[in-house]
Amino acid sequence: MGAARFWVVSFIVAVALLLLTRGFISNEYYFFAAYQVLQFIVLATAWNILGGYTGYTNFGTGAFFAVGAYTAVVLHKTTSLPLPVMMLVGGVMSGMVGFGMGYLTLRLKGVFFAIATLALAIVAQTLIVNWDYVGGSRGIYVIRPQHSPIYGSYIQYLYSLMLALTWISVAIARTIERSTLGLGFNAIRDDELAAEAGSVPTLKLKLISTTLSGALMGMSGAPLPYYVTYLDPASSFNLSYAVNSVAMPMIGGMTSWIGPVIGAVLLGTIQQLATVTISSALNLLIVGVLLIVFVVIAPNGIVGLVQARRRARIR
Amino acid sequence: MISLDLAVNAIVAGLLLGGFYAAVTVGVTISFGMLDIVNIAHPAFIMLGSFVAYIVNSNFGVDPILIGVVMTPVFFLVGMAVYQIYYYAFERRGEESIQGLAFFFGLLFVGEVALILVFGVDYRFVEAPYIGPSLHLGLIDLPLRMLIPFVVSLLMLAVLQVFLGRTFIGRAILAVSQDRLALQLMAANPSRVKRIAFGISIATASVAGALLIIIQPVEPSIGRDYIGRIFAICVLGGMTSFPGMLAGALLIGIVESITATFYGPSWAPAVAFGFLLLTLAVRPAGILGR
Amino acid sequence: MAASILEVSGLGKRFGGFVALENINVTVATGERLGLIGPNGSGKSTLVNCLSGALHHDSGTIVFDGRSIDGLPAYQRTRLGLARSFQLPKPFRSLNLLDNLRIPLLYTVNARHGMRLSDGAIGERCHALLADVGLADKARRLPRDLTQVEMRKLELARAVASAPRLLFADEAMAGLSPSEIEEILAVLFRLNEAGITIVLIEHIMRAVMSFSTRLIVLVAGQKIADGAPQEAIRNPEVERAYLGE
Repeated sequence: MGAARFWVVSFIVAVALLLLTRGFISNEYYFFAAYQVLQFIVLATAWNILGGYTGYTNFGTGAFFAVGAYTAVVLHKTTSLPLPVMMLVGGVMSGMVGFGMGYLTLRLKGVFFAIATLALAIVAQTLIVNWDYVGGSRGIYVIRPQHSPIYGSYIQYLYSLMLALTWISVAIARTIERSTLGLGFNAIRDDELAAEAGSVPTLKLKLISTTLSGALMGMSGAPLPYYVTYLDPASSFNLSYAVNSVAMPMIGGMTSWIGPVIGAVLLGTIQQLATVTISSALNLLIVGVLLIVFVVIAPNGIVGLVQARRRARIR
Repeated sequence: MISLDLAVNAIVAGLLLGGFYAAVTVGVTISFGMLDIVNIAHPAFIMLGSFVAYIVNSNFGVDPILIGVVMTPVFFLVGMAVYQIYYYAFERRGEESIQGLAFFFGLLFVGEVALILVFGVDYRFVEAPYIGPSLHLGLIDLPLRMLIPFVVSLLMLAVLQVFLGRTFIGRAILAVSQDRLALQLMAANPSRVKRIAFGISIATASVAGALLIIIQPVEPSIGRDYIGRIFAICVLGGMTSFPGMLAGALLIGIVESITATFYGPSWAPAVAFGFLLLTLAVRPAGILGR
Repeated sequence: MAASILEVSGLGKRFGGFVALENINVTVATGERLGLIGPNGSGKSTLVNCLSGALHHDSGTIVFDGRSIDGLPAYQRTRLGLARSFQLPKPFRSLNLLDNLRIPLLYTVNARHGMRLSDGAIGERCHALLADVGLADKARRLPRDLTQVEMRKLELARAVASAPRLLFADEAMAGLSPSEIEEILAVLFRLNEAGITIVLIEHIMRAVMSFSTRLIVLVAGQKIADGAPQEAIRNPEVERAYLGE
């Protein structure tokens, strides 16, 4: 289906999800858990734009995510902007970080880029740890508002915001995938020199990719302070965001918008279950092990496995 | 004004630290510089070495360096096993880039989390007679817990250098890093040679880990600080040259030490990463590769 | 249309202490078939890389179609009409042949004034380009399903997809059989007849001699001969370079 139709269909699905859950689910826990999974869908989708489509591995997801979260903290302390606006601002800030990072590092070959992203993430974390206005290493408490601007509890409100963001991210990814821009991204991934020789403006496209990816990650981080009510650098910059945002597209499949969604829903749900039933450290171990196993056995992810099955059946 | 005493000792401490950093980096010089395998999980193996030294030392009182050396065959085998998996999954298929990176990233992460699960997040340290005392040469303090690892590191580098230059396998490793085709024509199997080389690179982590826990108490997440350092030194040193790597390690050690002395220790990890970014900016691998 | 499509003056390129190219002066006449030969390591590929923008030259100027292109990134040079094919084919491996050609088409079409083609028109042009090199039946296949000579043809087709005025064909025939060489030569002749100026960088003397209207010889980073093919190879320095002292 065309891009426009996808936006409409996915919008309908999102609205349906929203209304159905509002109507039928009263257990607050669902909204807490679903928020996390949706957040992961956004992170995985955002990562995949730079990683799966353009071929540049970013290990610094935590930094973009945290920039969004801390932007919200600053805005919360200085203004009374509504949360959706904070998300936009968070996205802009993270987008700028993405742009800056891209500008500094995109002339680097694959692995050096990846390590540089890790380096930048650590630098960003160090800066935040030393910034007392947002709590420094001690962290900061954010009071969750009593009333939600729309219906239901505040958590339901956060959930619906994240649902909206998920819809936007997935639709953007899908639109890019089939567009000239997306083809340009793929060319860069497959052979950057040949792309450049084929009149693809590689630097410009790479910057678009890092900026967009970073912006989406930042937007997904902006509501975090209200969700957790206690924000500290150790948890917001946590390497687990980096691992998850790499593992989910890899396991789901990196060539299409649906891979990150599958990976995020699968891994996100497993983690929610694991955190409740076993320990949260063990659940991280599971993510890491799954990443390794999938990367070795099914490098094209679940989507890849399905495609291979389909091709085999045709023969 | 800057105290001369402080400055001189900062530099000396930096030199000793730098020597140790060379031991930490030599494994990656082999795996990444020579074999083109992006083993960003190397710090995880070093942490493993540290914790192995910790267990044996705290339970049996054995000297940590001895433990590190004795465990090298085990680490060697582990390294060969890891390479086999990497080879089977990636190198053979010729699709090394993103999935290979993710593989090692996964290993790094799993390594850290596994250590946390087993040992918790507390700092661990070893006991040895040379942790504590220092030599005093005039202005200069030489803490033995830094001096001894420095010496051992240089020894290890020297042994490796000789091995690479004088033995058949060692020369085969050098050859495979330069020209795979020539090696095949010489009737040596490149992947077998690479496997041995990778095993050696992980074996160095056993010793490096033991040295690390002598120099400072360790906890599982310390490995992350080392990723930037290791790759910064590797790139600074020109990727494949041992002397270059040693020079780079000493340089970073000195700069870190001076930064820590005069600006506070929390900035030290940032130094290495800053160096890395600078190095990459000035000596870019660039689109056409190195 | 100007008489010379490319003017290179005093071009130099060093890698650290190694001088890869020194004081290269070349003029390429519009529409001609220029051969570029030289022993291995003489700088042929470096020259192509400098002219196409993959490398930055250290000294000298490059004037393409009357305007200086010094400092322009490679993709802009391609958009202006200067294309190159790669010695070792570098196809976009995850995309089928049609998409391989679609990319240069999309990115030149969208940049050049008033050439906005519809999706359908672009698709047709891709098919036509593939048919020109005899790959029409593999349009939806992936590059890994191609034979060596087919990959070379794809490589050329991709360079042509950007509608160039000047094409550098970098060792497109290395390692091919005599009949395969003929196939590639035929493609190149056709392209030249269609109006594309071609610079053929090659080792295979038979092909170069039969194709070129003019020959340039590069040895150790310097141009040592420039003229009609038969005369250029009879130059004693050229003989010495190829056969030794």
